[in-house]
Amino acid sequence: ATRRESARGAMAEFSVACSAPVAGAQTKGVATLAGDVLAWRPSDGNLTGERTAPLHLITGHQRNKAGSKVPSLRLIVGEPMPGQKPNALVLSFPGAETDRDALSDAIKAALTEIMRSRRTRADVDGGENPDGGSDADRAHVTTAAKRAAREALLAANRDLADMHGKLVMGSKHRRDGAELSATITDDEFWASRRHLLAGAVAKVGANQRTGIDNSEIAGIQGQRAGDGDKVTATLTHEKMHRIFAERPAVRQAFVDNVLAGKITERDFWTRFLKSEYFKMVRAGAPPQGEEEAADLQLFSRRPAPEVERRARVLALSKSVNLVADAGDYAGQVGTAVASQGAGRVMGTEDDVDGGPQGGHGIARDGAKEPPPPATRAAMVAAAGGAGHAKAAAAKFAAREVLQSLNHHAEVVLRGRPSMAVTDARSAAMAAEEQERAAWARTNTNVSNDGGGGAGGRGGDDDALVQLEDLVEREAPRRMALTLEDRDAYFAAATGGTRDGEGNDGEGGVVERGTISPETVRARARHLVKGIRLVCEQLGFEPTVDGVPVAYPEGTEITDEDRARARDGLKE
Amino acid sequence: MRREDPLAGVGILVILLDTDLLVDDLHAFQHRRDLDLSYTASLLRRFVAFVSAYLATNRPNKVVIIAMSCDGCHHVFETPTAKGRDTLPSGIQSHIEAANRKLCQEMIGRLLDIASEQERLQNAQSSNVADSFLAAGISMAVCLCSRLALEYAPFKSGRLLCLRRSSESLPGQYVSATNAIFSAKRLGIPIDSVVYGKNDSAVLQQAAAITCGTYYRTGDHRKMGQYLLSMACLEVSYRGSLLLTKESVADLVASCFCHQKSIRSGYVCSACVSVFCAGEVMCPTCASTSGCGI
Repeated sequence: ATRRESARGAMAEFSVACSAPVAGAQTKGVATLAGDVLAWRPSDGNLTGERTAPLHLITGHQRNKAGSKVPSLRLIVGEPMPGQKPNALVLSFPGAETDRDALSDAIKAALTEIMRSRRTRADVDGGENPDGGSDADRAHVTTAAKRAAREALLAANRDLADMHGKLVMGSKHRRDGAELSATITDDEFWASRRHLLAGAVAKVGANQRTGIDNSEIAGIQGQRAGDGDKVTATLTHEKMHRIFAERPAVRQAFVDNVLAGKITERDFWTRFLKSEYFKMVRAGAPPQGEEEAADLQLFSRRPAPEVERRARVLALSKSVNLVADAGDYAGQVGTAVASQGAGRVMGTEDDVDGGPQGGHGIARDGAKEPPPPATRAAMVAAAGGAGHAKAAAAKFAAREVLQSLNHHAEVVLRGRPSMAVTDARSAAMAAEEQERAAWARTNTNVSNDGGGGAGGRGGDDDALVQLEDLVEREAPRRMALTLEDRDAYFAAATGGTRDGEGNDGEGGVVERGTISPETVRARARHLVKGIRLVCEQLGFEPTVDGVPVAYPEGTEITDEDRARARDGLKE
Repeated sequence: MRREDPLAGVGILVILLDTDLLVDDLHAFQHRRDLDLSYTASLLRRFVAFVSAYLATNRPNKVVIIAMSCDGCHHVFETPTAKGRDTLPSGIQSHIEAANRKLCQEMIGRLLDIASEQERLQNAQSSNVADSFLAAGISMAVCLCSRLALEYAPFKSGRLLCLRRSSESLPGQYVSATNAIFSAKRLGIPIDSVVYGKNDSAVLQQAAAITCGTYYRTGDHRKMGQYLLSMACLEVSYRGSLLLTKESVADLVASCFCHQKSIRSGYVCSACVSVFCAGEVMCPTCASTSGCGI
């Protein structure tokens, strides 16, 4: 394995010798990770079978167990279609497990760097891409929904499938063995049929934003097998993402410990699941033992900074905020935060000094009640007391529950991340990115609306609950039909060309027959003589409005003309 | 103002006469020193006979002659209203002949007037003129038919008869000619064509196919006269009872708007139906864009 800095020095180039299947046979080659592309090339220059995989398309990253006969690394490129074999790149490292691990770590590091740069770009853009990634990246990735829609269209429309086979598949489509080369790529074929695809995607409903299942992390602590001491729990990457989204403290602990290299990922999850199990078993009782207390402390909720608390409240949709109601938001957001400072954010603290400003939410009632305990310890102490302090402690506990529910609702509303979640690291990054994007969007809304937070937020909340089927469709935008270039159109009437110079647009000149003025006059004279002869034969004079017309000079009829005309008539 | 004609059913025949037809072939004209007037005289006599015969089939019939020459289209002649021709007592053959004679005199006189104008042409710009204005003639004829249809009600039928010498295809006039043909189709005016020469006229073939008219080409000018008298004199309503001459298959070749060249396959704008030889994202005529090119 070799590593070298690239010319720009931005991202190191990593190369390692490995084998990959080419036409069914393992072929030696070199895998190179440069920038955001992983490429494998055969060592023998005469062989074909080069494979490339952009890192942002890698949706699966697996390696076999340590000590395997042949260390292998399996990368799944793109999203696998349902019912079909995923597109996988399998690299083998015979007798070089360290190389495999080094390449795997390099890929993970590169992915982390890509996500970090995206996050930085998202911050600079002001949260324009809430789900992370650029529009170009998203447009480049063909989602499973689109692929399913394409397959459905081809199955339903035989003519379309035939055309697709001829243009895209080429010889592979023909069963008679006829030579036929593929003309265009699959994306180009469907680019001109977007209207068909849009209809198919909408019909399938694949373009809908899918939510997350509530039962994903239910029972995450595992189950005890029989009477033994063994507890079995299952963790998937989606569950990890859900945990990181619901429990920011757990995510922070992961970042501070696992990503920092203090403990391994396996140890981290073991401690987490153990802590959850014991919490369930204890049912609120204090932890037993230092190890258990340390685990609890590691994964417990920490008081968030004021800025973060404020952003959380503002980011939370009014429709799911269980603590405050419409009256609490009316014209109060800006003034509440600006004039009363930290700790006086609605939904988290009562307004002790000024009394209720309006509304009848939980945040407003109890103006005569003493302020609730500020910390959990104070709450526990007050709960042991009596009277108002106990009531306040109970209220604080209730508020904690409500805040948890608020946060859970917020996570549900965010939905699934658009970026692929392939491991714990990417799960943590995806969850953090979703949270930051939501706060950034909220900050933008507040700064745009000023004090009228309710009005501005109202529009945003309305969009959340808007059902597309019930929204009146806008009339399609019409384009005025105008003659852009009148000269080009009317030039054709006189046999001219667009530029008026007779150029045919291909470097040549439009040829038009020409008659000299002399020929025109001669032919006219001949016609006059013919008319004269006919009038002589028919015995009348030509007139215009009853007035005889004189013949032009030089059009006299000779005897020879008369003789020929007689002969012609006889014929 | 719509006037009620006492003699109901007016047949309107608009004749597009190419003056080039009345003069011998250009090639022969340029290479023969002693020119033969027999062709011109023969054709003129047959034309006059045809017009007289058409007017004789039904007195209210109306004939309009538009001359297409190298310097433009000229409204040559238009028969007066039937009322004007009622000055003579009906039923007297000699008087009918005299009336037709006067019409023929007027017709010939106006043709002579136009020919004399051309003979006096001194303008050097005339050297650039090559082909007659077929598209303009068809447009003028269609407008005339429309005007006359408003003046006389009900008119039996209005049709167009194009007398032309065959020439090479006119890709430069394809756009305007096709527009005029479709206008005639829209108004229900059939375009009949009689072409003299060796080559078929694609534009007139298409006009006949589109407007349900007839197309006839002959290389003998004497046969033209026979065809005109036997077929062109009759109105459209009689054609169902006749065994018409077999016509060649119309050559529906098109010309591209960009280069005025004949093309067999091309691209069509879905908005303005302009024809182009190369596909473009934006139509040069109407500027409408197409996602996948025209």
